[in-house]
Amino acid sequence: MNSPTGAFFALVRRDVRLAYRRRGEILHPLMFFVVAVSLFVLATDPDPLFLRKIAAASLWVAALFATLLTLDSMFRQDFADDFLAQLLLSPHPAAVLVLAKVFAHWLVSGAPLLIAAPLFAAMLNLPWHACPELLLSLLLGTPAMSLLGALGSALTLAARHSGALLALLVLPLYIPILIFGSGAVRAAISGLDAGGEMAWLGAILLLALALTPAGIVAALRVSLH
Amino acid sequence: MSAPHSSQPKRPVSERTRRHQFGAPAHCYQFAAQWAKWFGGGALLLFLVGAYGGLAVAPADYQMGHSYRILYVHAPAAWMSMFAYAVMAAGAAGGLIWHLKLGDALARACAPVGAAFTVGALVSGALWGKPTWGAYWVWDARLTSELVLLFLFFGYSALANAIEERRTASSAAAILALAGLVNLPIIHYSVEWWNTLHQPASVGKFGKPDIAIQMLIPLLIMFAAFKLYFFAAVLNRMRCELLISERRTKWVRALLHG
Amino acid sequence: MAEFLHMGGYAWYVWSSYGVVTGLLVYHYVSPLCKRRALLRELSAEAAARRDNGGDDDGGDDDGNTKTAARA
Repeated sequence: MNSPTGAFFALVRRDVRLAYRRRGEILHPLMFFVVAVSLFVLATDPDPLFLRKIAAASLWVAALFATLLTLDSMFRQDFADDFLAQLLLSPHPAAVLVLAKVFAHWLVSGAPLLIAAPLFAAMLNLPWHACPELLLSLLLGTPAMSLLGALGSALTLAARHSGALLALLVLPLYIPILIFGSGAVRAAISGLDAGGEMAWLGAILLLALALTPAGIVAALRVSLH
Repeated sequence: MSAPHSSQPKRPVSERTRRHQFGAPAHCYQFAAQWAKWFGGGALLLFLVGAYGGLAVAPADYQMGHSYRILYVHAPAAWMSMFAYAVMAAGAAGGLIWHLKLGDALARACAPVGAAFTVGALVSGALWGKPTWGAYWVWDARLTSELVLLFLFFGYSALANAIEERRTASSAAAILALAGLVNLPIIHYSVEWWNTLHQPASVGKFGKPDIAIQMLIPLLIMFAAFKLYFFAAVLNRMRCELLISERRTKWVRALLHG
Repeated sequence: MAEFLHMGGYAWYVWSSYGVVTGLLVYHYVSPLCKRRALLRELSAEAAARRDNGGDDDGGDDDGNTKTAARA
């Protein structure tokens, strides 16, 4: 754990192991995703052609809420037992450590959705040829959501009730990701090129990678004060 | 309020830092009152002139008839909602980076006023939409962006009020305001991109070159009125914010006794 | 005059949008004035209560200064 890279991976390993130990936690977003997608179908017309029309929207909204669900716990435990304060005092760059926490969060909450998504895509009558776009859009979009969500999570640490507040802060920031992610899948369904949307998703991810770590560190320092 | 005593030991502070630290809020508190009155009076005057010009003097639009007169409140409100966000972000940056107490007070004061402008723009836009599109709401790109802006104002206010310790709350909300500022252009572009698939003619889109001069002058007057109003309302609100955050300082106590 | 109020059939849209915007502006100008008055009353009452409690008051020397110093 001497180099920043070593610290990064050590922290990722620790967080993933912790999440794995509380086995429920790793499955919650996935189970929520299943339920949410089913609710979408139950709330509308089960006609396969209609389902195909709303498939992109329901998959993306379900993914968004599944991510949101896990945000509050991202720093909460480490905040309570002072691990976070020590982390920020460590000699390694704080941004790297924060990125490690976000990456671990994504491995636990975003990555499982990627594995499950094709299954639900089939249930929603999403055409097979649109699956690569669905997976790529989720691959680019969910890490960006984890990054922005981490910022919201860090900002609400000092608040007493953070559940609805966190959603209120983070959801508006998710709008571009939702629009381009869902737009990419819709374009793919109708056989159009989704390159523009993917480029935007990639740009948003890069921008989030560049800017949010500094913001998250600042937010954590404010909350710890 | 529950803990009026600070437990931290007092440290000797030079006279200069003392003036530097408490001077600004106390001075601002006093000057804000006069400036708010002047700005408020000017805004009222300009508003009356502009409304008269827009409602009575300007001719009816050859396409939209009299309904276009909503422009005179809709456009300034929409423009000022974005201006208010920019000022809020600037104040937030000042409070966060340079620990300016006035910056925090400014940012906190901007949020409700900006939200009011946003609501005004949304309501007047919807009322204009009904005769133009036949529906109050059609997910027009501008109105949708305005709606998202309202969410951002809500988020700022919610965070600023959810954290007990006031400086922590201000700093956290300031970070959120700056994150929103970076995000706003992306949100705006994405909403516009999303909307191109189904584009209704946007409300407030005028044939810009041939807008009649009688139509343009009241609009400019209304813009000026809204801007003056904004400063007046924000100064009034800043005085409240300063009283709350400075409640334990000497100058506030002097104010209460004097 | 009646024709002016009628607004060529758009009376409801024009007048209600002016009404809503004007109402919002007036409210956000007046409410901080009232709030400030209430705040001053509240703070005076607090100060009076502290004075009645006797000498445990730190006499206004805690001017937010200590906090700023501690932050730095």
